[in-house]
Amino acid sequence: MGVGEIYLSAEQIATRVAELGEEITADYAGKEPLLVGALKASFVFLADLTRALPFLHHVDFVELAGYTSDETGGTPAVRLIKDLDASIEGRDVLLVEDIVDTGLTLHYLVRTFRLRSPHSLEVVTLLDRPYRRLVEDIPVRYVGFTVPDEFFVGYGFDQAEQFRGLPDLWIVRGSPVV
Amino acid sequence: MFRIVQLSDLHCGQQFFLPQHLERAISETNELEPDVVVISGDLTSNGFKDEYALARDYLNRIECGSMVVIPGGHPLSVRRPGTWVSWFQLVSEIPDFQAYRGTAAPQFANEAELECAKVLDYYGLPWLYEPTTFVLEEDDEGRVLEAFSPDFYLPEQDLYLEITVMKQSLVTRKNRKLRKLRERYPAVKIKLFYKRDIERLGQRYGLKLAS
Repeated sequence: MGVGEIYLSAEQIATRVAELGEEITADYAGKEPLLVGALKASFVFLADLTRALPFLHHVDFVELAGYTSDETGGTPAVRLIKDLDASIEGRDVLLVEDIVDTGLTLHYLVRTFRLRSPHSLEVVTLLDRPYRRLVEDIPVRYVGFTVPDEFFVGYGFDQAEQFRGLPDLWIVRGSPVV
Repeated sequence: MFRIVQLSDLHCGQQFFLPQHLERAISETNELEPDVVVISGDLTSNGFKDEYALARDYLNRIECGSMVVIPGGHPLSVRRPGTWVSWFQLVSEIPDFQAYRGTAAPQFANEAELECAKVLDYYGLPWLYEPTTFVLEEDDEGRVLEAFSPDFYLPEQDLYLEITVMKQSLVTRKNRKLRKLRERYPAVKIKLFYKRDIERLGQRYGLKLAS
C-alpha cells in the first residue's frame, strides 16, 4: 500500500499509553476530569487512553475547521465546528491531542477554553514536535513521543482520510501527493 | 564579495518570448548564488494578468532572498509609471488581515510570506511584517555594513520568523546572518522556516501537519 515503514508499533504505543495512564491517574487522584479529544486524528489515542484510566472521568470532543488556502471554500478564521456538549466551568479539563507541532491550533483551543473558567486545563499529546513550535505558552503536560519532522499515518492519522485504522504508526516516505 | 545579478526585458507573453532563454538565465543566476537579483523590467509585453502570472512563475524559481523587481515602464506606462512595487504584490490578491498589528500595508516578497501571513491570521495570532531591522555589522565610524530584517514578528510570543524560499542547500548565507544576529542580540528569539514548512503550515496538500 506504499506508506513507507512502521515508526512505532502498536505494542510500543500501548506501552507508552499505559505509562501515561498511570501518570495521569496519579496526578488526578480525587478528581473527576473531563478528557476532551480534538477530532479527528486523536480518536484512537483517546479511545486507548480512556481505557488506561481506572478512575471516574468524562469524555467529550471538539472539532476545529481546518485551515485551507483555497480562496473559494475557506473560512477567514479558525472556529469550532463541534463544540463541547457541556460547560467546563470549575472542571478539570485534559485536552487530548494527536500531535502538537507549531502549537497554533492548540493555542486557539486553550485560549477558547480558558475563557470558560475551568478549574484546571492541561494537555496530553501522543506526538510532539517541540522544535517546530511558534507558540510556547501552551500547557503541554504529558507527551507520548517526541518525533522527527516526518509525516505519519495510522493510529488515527490519515493521508486524505485514508489509513486512520492502521494499528501501527507509519512514516510516509517521499513527497506527499493527493 | 557581494554579487548582484541583473535581468531585464523578460517580455513574458510576447510572440517572440522564448522560454528556453529565460530558463537558462534562471539556472545561471541560481548557480551564481547572488546576494541581490534585480529584475529591471519589462516583465510582460502587454501587462495582462496571465503574463504577470507567467513572469511570477519564472521569478519564483530564482533562489535569492533579496529580489528587486521593477515591472517596467512598458507594460505599466498607463497605470504606474516608474513606481517601485513588490512585483509579487502586483500579481497577487492580498486579503484584509485581522491579526495584523502594523499600520502600513505589508509588502510581501513572495508567496511563502503571504501564505504564512494567512495562516497566522487564520489562527488569530497577532503578527507584524518586518517591523525591526537589526544592525549586524558597522565600520569604525558607525556606518552600517550589514543589517537584517526578519520577515515576521509575533508580539505575543516575542518571536521573529524568517521565511526562506531558498533550498536548504543554498541557505548558508542566510544561516550566517542568523548566527550573527544570535551572537549580537542573544535575547532575540528567531526561527527560520523553509517554504516547505509554510506549505505544511497551510496544509496545502490537505494533510494534517500543522496541529
